[in-house]
Amino acid sequence: MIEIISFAIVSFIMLLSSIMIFYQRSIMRAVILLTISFGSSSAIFFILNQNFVALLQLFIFVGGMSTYLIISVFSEYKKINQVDFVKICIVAAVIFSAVFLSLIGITNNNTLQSTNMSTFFAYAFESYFPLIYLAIVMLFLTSIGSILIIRKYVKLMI
Amino acid sequence: MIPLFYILSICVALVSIGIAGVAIEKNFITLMLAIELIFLASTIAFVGFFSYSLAPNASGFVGLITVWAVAAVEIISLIAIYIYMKANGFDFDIALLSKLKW
Repeated sequence: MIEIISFAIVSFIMLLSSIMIFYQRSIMRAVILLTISFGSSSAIFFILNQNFVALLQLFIFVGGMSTYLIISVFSEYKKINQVDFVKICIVAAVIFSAVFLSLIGITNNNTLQSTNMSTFFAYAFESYFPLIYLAIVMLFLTSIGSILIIRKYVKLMI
Repeated sequence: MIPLFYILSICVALVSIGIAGVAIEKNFITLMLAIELIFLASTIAFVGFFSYSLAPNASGFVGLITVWAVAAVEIISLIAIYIYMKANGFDFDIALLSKLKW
């Protein structure tokens, strides 16, 4: 029962901060709301007994959020034009009600398995090593190339 | 005990918020934040299906790593492309694409 109550509170915070991103006129506040949303997702992983994935989620999205914050500090769009918030809410509700119908067939017979993802960590890195290595090399090269492009052209912009 | 149905409902709600943001939002950086919401929903769905699977294997973890890598690459490369196009004088106004939007 405590699990369901905590899950409800955390998911409510996550959905509220996610929808309020589009209500803000400042990019900085929008990024802080997205950070709250990511932190809530990490809390959901804790509730699902996936402690390892929760830690990794926080680690990885620190980089992304800091990038967004730097861009929002240097961006010329510090104050953005507010789009129609009600329109976003209506479209989101329509899409949700359309996709939610496909979930109705899922029954509640599934029980939470006690398997932790960290037990598969070593196995995943052993058996899927080329794919994971390719992904990490792609990440590294793209980040370095993007920073070089930013360094070359940011003088013209600011 | 949390049913799988609840977690998938949260994922569907996040995806619908993200798609609505991509469809309606006119600012570039806020549009990328909406794409981030879609990635977040996919990670929650991966972990949820892994936690409730009767015969779990490593493929869920590999999918999770792939989503993280794509999200990180997407952030920095899109910002680089944005700054490149701004510096070269391209008009990168998303509102010009409003004929494709609502």
